Amino acid sequence: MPPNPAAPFPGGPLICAPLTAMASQQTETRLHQTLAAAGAVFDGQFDEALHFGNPEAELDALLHGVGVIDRDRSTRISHIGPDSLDLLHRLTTNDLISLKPGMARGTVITSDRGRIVDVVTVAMKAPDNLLLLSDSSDAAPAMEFIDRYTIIEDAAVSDISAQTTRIDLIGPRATEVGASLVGQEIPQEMVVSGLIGRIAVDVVRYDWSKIPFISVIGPISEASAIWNAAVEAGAIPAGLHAFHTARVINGHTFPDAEQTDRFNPLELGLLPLVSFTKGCYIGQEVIARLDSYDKLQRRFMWMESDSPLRPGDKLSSVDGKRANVGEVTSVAPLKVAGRTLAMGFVRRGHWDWRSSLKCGEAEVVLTPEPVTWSA
Amino acid sequence: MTTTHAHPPVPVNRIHVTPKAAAKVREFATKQGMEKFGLKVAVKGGGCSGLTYVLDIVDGPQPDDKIIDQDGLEVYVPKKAFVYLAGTTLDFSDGLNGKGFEFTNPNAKKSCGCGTSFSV
Repeated sequence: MPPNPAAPFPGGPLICAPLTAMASQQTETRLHQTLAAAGAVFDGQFDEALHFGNPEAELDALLHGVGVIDRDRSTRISHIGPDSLDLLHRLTTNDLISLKPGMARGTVITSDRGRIVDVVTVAMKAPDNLLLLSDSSDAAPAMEFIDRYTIIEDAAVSDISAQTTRIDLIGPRATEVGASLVGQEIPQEMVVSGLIGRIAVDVVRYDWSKIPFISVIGPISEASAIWNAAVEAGAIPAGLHAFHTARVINGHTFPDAEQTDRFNPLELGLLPLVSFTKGCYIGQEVIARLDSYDKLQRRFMWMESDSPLRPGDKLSSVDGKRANVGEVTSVAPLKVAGRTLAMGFVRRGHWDWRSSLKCGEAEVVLTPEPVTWSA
Repeated sequence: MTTTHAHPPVPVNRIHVTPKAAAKVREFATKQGMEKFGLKVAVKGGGCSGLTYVLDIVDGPQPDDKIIDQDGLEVYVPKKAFVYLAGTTLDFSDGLNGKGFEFTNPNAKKSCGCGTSFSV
């Protein structure tokens, strides 16, 4: 869902080119009228809210307060049946078999080469009822993967993205607003089912590295009501510019930018989503070998520059002698502490913190942690 | 369990259990005190290569099982799994270096290092 560089941008010049190039199966999010009434400026290509007039304030809400984001274009999958959890445990990277009802855990679907097919959060609503959330706008890769390996198992997957809405609460106050919406606490890595008024919702909490992150899943017919309830509870409407800036600050990788079949989970720093003791899964031999013999050749890092960067930009050594030692994959749409903040991979031998690389003539500094954005 | 390719072809509408493997199944069933039993052979998703063999001694077939009589030993194969197992030979390798039950599956294009998982 790329921001549109040509869109109005009252907070200053837009820093980056499109972040991702997701395929779209929808031309308009189902919250369009509600978002438009709140002053949303839309992406012309995918008709998603880029911002609501003050993206810096929206980012401030995501980092220091609470923002609400329309995530309609993400994937929701229902995985039903007594064998569903055991099957996912056997197919993906993380230890899922120890999940108990009410718990949620991230895992990675990898190919037999250990490359990423999708990254999903598995929320166990009941022993035979799983809800799978993915940032991807395309449910097909995960659906087809699970379906292909469902042989004798009593389990079935269905894409429920069209029947549901997903609205995210992001920020330090997300837990407080989320709890006020459904009338109960939402602990980290848990899923709770509750009511917003009379609307039945599932609420999944799976935090980014430093920011509470809560996803509210409800019926599509109630999308506006859920959005309005979140706003009335104190959440600030936020658009994709703030969202993608916050996720780059948090080092959260994303479909089409980083979560692609170009990379494996270890390169993306998804170690917490990989179990090395659970036994076999598809891609396990490759991933175990990378870890055991320290064979990782690329790793993702934060990058800062005083010059504009674009996804796809190639990096070279600062003396210009070594070309293609890295690549920019995501750029924060908003400047962070006055500089361009990006994420990308750097090849072995060039990934020392604080070292510099070149992007064309521009200097790019590899930073261990981005400076926290402040208004 | 491992996948090997050392056995002569088996008709594609069958699964062949060697006398040695059949004897081992009977031995296990006897130890478990089962008078009426059969061998369930199936495939489930998972493992390094995507599909994993399943072996179990059971007291009878499920409604959707294909039943194969192998010299007096009944072999039950879920119809959904048979497409992955047609023509397979099940053998048993014992001794200190034995690998236990071994599959020779003509449908397997590759298998993982330990042989319990394969892809088609």
